[in-house]
Amino acid sequence: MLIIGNGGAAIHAVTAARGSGFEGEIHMVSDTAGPAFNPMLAPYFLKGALSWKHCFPFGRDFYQNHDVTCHFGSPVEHLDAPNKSVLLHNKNRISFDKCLIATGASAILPPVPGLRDSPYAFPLRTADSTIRIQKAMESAKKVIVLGASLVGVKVAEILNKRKADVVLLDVAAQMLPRGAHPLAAAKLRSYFEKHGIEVRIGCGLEGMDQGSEGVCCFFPDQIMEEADFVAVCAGIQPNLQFIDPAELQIDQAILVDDHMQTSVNDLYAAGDVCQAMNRLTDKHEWLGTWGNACYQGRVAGLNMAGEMTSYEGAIPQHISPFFDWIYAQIGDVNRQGRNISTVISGEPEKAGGYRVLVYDKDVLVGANCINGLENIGAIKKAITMQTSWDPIEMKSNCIADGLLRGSVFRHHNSSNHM
Amino acid sequence: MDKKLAFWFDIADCSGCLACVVACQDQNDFKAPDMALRQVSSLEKGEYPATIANISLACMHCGDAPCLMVCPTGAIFRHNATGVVDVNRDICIGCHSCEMACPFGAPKFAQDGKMIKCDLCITRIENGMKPACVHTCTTGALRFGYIDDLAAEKTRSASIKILESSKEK
Repeated sequence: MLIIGNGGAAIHAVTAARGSGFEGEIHMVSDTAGPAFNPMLAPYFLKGALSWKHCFPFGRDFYQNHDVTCHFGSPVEHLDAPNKSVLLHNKNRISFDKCLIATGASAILPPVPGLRDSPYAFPLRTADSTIRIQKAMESAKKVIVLGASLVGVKVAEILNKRKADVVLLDVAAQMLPRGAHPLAAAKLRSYFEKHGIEVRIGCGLEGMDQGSEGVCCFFPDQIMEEADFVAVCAGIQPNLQFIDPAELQIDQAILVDDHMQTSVNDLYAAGDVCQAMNRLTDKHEWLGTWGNACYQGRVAGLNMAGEMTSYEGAIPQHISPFFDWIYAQIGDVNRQGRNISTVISGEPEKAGGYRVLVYDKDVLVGANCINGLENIGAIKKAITMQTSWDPIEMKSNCIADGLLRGSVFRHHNSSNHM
Repeated sequence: MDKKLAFWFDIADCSGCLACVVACQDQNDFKAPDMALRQVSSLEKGEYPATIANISLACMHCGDAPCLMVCPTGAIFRHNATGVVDVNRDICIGCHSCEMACPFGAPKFAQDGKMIKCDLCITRIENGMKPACVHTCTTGALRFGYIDDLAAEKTRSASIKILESSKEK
């Protein structure tokens, strides 16, 4: 069994395979030399919430404990799917019976003139890039954050807390354009601006050049500003460069079936490199999260070990603290159509928080919540199960699944009891 | 895992008195009045006189716990000897991923921003006591034990009920 990659999907594939009793050889190939890094933890490390050691949640001993032969420090140059082998950068060739592609994703470097060659452009994804941006942050007084993505807003918060002047930039018309409702995004924008972050939406970076002490950034209308560096947070893309697209089906990422198998027998994919089932749309979509990667890796590992198990799919989801707020986005809040209704309630700073709930007829399909998240797990379950709800009154007939009860029952606690 | 501990809850016996919630608050020294690792919910069904059921809910210590699976740091873990799902708060980053993953609302967040959850009062159990909520439950609706034992008891009580109902006929 060969596993290409060394992240959450890869690790969980190994764990599942060994846990199911698989005693054959497991080889793991990775361009990195050390233990598995969790890119989701990079902002938390930069924020000081976690030590560097704990950004590698499975530790160094994992591979020995699971009897894995590691081929680390040399990326795969070419996957020969028909002949079941891979060619490494160091020219070694490894054959396999079954192979999992779990190479994850990389930060996108947008085609802004001067950006890709600039020593002042810092993406945030890998362990190395985390250390580089940490060093750049130490002395930074002004930073342009390119992309008001989930990572971008976290980086903006970290820099703001380090007393740097921050410009948060996005070509889209709002912050968090992929998952936030425009009204929730507007709440977040004013919150970030209240903290002193300049949010420029609908504004692109047109070019970068060497400045007197840092980098010159060029904006529309011939505006030029200097900054210490540009944090590049413009999204991620799957790592597919070693794959011949003629050999297996690829859309945005590698297409897999419910067993996490690609269009080629004995070749599996899991994590940010693949497109698996979105339960909201019944289509294979790219939903890269740490949790999804771990679940997908587990299913792939079990199936590669000879079991027959299926991945149940996922929905778009994210939850994260921003300053003192907790923000959650689930499902599709920007769905369009004549049957779409949106229920907006509350305020972020008041009890119960702020909620945007989007319904397609009487089925909850999306939610944005700021604070007041005590039943967020039940809401996610409701969206995943595509349960029918009465959008306004939330009558008891909305309970199609017992797991939803927490969100519609009257909750008691000792304070309102006594 | 040797044997797995679990709560037993009988909805028919719960009066909704909230003693379990107060016991949890007391056991964990929670000062905030709305902070508890167990919650009691009421479900009303039908018109007056409606059927009212009370459900006392805490962490289920799931066999395949989604909170444990999605935790990005590995802070959430399972005690091998008992199957109890617990959290190492030293490496919790307060990302709330567990809160999103849990359909039961079990993960709570303390003032320090880190997750806190029901550990089935494992320290009490290790010292020969029942979990605080179970110890306090006035009607016996809440119990705890090893899953195999609880399942056997459930089978036995269900068999008795079937036999009794067949006698009545």
